[in-house]
Amino acid sequence: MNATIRKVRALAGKDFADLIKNPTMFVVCLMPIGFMVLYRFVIGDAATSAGVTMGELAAASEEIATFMLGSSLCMTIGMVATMIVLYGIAEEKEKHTLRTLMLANVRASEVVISKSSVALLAVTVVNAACFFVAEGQLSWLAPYLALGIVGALPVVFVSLVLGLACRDQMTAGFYSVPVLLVALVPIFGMLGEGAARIASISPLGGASTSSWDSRSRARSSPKPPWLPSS
Amino acid sequence: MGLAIEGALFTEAAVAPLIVTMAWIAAGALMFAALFRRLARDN
Amino acid sequence: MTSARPSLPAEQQNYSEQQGHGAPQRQPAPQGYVAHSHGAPIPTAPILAMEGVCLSFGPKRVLDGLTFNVRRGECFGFLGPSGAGKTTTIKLLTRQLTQDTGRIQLFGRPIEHASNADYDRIGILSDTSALYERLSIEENLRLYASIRGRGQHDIDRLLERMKLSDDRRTLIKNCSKGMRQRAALLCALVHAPELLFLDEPTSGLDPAARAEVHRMLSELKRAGATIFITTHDMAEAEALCDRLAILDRGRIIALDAPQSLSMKFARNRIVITTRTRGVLELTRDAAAADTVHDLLAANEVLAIHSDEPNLEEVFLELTGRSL
Repeated sequence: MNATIRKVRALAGKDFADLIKNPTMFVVCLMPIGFMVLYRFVIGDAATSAGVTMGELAAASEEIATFMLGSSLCMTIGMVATMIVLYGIAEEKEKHTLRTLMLANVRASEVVISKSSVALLAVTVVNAACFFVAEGQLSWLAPYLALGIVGALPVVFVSLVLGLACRDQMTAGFYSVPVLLVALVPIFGMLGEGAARIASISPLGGASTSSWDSRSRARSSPKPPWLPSS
Repeated sequence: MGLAIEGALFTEAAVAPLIVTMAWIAAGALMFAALFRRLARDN
Repeated sequence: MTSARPSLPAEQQNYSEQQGHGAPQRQPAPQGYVAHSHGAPIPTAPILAMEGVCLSFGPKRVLDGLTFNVRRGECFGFLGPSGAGKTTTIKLLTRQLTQDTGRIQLFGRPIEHASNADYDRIGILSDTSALYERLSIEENLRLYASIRGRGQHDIDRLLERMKLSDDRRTLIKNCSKGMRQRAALLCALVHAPELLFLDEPTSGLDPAARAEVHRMLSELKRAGATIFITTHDMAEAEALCDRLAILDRGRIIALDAPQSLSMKFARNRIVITTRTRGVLELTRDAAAADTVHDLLAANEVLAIHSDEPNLEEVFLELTGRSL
């Protein structure tokens, strides 16, 4: 057990260093944060052009936050977890570094644990950054991060399987697209009730934003005009 | 997440979404366990 | 010329399975490297043995009845052209592949029963060994040292011995092939393995890098490590190996000490390069003595060489065809 812990720690350190030094991976980790910044500007501009007052905007802040945080959860998990796990393993296979590790008496399970741990940590860090960009309330932070980890687990498992099945990074690119799309389904769930029903049974449907329409039926506040209508 | 923002994360309304997520985690774990041995060979 | 080695008994001129020979004398380890014996007396049984091993890839038989053993502390070479089965043999010995028939023993036990502890005593440099390109030489070495439970002082010592200390912070992607190969070798050695598998460790290296690798391997051998090396370079095999097996199409066609193999196939002649008379070939006997004497007296001699065969010539003699 000590040997396994030692190896996993060494591999996780290497994976984390590689994450920072790999420009592609690093940029993908920054993308969800970039999208959050973009959404803030877009929503602000849309509100201004719709003639919404600051008071009305403040009143709808909870709904805006729900949308932004839910979207960032989906994007972070879909992009970051897939990139680190699926591409990471595929790159190791393509460049034969995985073989070199296994010839050094490292087991596949140790590689898997290390990659998954780094992916979950990266998802948490990026989620936290997105949270503060979206200006969520601090009381929401803990459940948000916990939901991020819980929601990332199925994506990590699927990415592990696909990563081990890949022979190279090009194949990884092909396999990653459906994983990313499935992770982003809850965002499209906000477009309408039908889409919301489908989104509710997707891997992240349980962890991310619930449908605006189903919630607004239970509430009296109207939907802000600048948000997509069904 | 919406339920968490509303402070309704640990209510009945949260059960269904969390069951969906747990089911996906279990399915993913099963798929991984089933295919891992076959796939964990380098090229 | 090759350095002197203990001479082998006459019965070792054939290549059938051999057992029961004592291990070579272990010299004191050079400072900085100690091969493990885990405190136990060094056994005389082979550290590695193959008996009747066959392997096919589909209809093609790649290994056919391979039988040999490797004694503890010796450097055993596998020499042969591309496609002979050298790399496949190493893959079998390192459990990357499983044989169809035959037995393989590692540390005196069937290889199927080898444990994690056994593999911790082994170091492997394969033909596709690769390091992480975005990390430096030292970072890669630190990774493998951590995996093997070794510390920073082991890293510093190894970098010093392979003359890579000044380049320790160079990223692997910026390293030359020689530096990468040496760094990969260090990663395989960081835990001071008892048994080392090297698959063409100097392939593609320039003479200086090759000399460094040879120097390192000679030191390891003096420290008591057992080395199994594959190569297609006869000169390298002669320089490093105590015994050498020549492989052709999955079969061992000769197994002997390199000097014995060279002498067995050496042509009985000497080659003299002269100032004004070009290159002369003379038979290596008393009949040539007067000619050599006259050339030397006339200050005509630029160089005198004995005519050891290269791999191609040995292979041609053994198989009747060229590489």
